[in-house]
Amino acid sequence: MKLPVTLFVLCFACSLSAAAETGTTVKDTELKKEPFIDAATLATLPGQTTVEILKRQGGWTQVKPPTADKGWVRMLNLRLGDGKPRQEGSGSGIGALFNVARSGSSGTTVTTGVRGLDITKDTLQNASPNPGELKRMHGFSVSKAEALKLAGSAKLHKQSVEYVEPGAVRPSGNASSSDAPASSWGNN
Amino acid sequence: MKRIYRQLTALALGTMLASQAWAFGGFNLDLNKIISAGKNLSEASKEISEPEEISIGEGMASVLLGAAPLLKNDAIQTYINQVGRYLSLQTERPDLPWHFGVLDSVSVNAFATPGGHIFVTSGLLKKMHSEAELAGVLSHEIAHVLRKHHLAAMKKAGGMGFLTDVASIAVDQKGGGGYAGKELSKNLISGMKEILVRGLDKDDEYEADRMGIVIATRSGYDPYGLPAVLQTLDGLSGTSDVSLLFSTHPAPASRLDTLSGLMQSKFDHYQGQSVSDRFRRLVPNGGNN
Ligand SMILES: [Zn+2]
Repeated sequence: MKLPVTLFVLCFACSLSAAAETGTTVKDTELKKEPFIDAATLATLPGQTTVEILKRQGGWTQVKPPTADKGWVRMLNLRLGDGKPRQEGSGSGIGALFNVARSGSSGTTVTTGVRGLDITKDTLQNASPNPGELKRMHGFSVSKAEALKLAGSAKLHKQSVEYVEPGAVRPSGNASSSDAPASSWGNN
Repeated sequence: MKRIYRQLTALALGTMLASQAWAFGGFNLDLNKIISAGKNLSEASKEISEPEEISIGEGMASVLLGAAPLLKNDAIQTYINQVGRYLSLQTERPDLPWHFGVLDSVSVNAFATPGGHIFVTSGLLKKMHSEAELAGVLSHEIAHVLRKHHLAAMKKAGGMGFLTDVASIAVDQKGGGGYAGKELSKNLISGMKEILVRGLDKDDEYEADRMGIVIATRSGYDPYGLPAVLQTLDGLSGTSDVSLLFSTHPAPASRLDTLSGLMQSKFDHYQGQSVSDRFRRLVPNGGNN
């Protein structure tokens, strides 16, 4: 009686994996019940654990590990994919074929390739300035007031945040190392 | 090195001429300032003027638009200007003539040119999931403009003589030397391309990441927009769409590693908006991987 159930579960997993994104932990990572640092820890996932990615919220990603219930891990402890090295063209399928077919041709003259235009070192080297298009671009500029209106309609609220120094954070996690003056970026 | 130097000199001279060819902003070069800089070497090592900076940037933007035109979608072009202009208001250079554009290209990339021209490709836009992710990328590019990273790259490639040559060329121009012909403009353009193709200093890229996150957070967005895009880019490594981006920037994984400790200790207590609804309305196939 157990077999059909197992099959069902397997197939369900199959259909999900076709659409779902996978990720892999880069180091030992706590699996939290909620997306907060002081939420309960459900498990500790070792580095190189491949998980199913469900959604992201701020600095947290909801995942389903193979051996535990779903929970939240720090987004920056994850890399997309199954952790195996990727190969050239593996992600682009037919696009990669078009790329081969078009190699050597100038992207600037092929205006309606099936794939669309590439911007590569070659196409940049072959490009001619396009002042007409620059003028068109300038036509889309908006005023400060229009920009603030769009921000207001999304309830974006300004916050006071100082720039941060490269060495401001030590691995020990010691806080209050941030009092360096903002002017110490140096001058150009 | 010598070739690059010559191109950069031509670039500087071309910039003078460009102020006529690309005079949409209505600014003028302050020639007197440049001439006096030429008379005094210590003065000459100072930064070039803002109008010059803008003029160089317009030239480079024009070259980029020669490689790929704007996406033919007025709503998206207006939208990216609204988001970008709002972000620019939270910076130390709110009054630059900021312009934003979506390039019609499958390549996944974003660009800035001096003085306030910012570009994102439609290929990159389609990989994003929210306005906060767009804001993260735009803020990284805005930081390159704020810190004049392209001018630093030009100085590095051109050496100390670069600015004094700018000055002497300016004198020639004032003396009615006039336009030196087609050869010059070719050199000018290749000088600009050189900078676009070579990319910026790696430390400047890390600085733009740190500043970009701050600018997006100041503006009220989810601080993790840029890291989310970097995570997506990391997942694209090995595909041809990211070849130029990867050759001109540190690897996304290194950028994520660098941001990791910083984000957790400094940005976790900020609440920000992701604004995904209107982003998805305008970019309906967003998040395609
Ligand atoms: Zn950059």
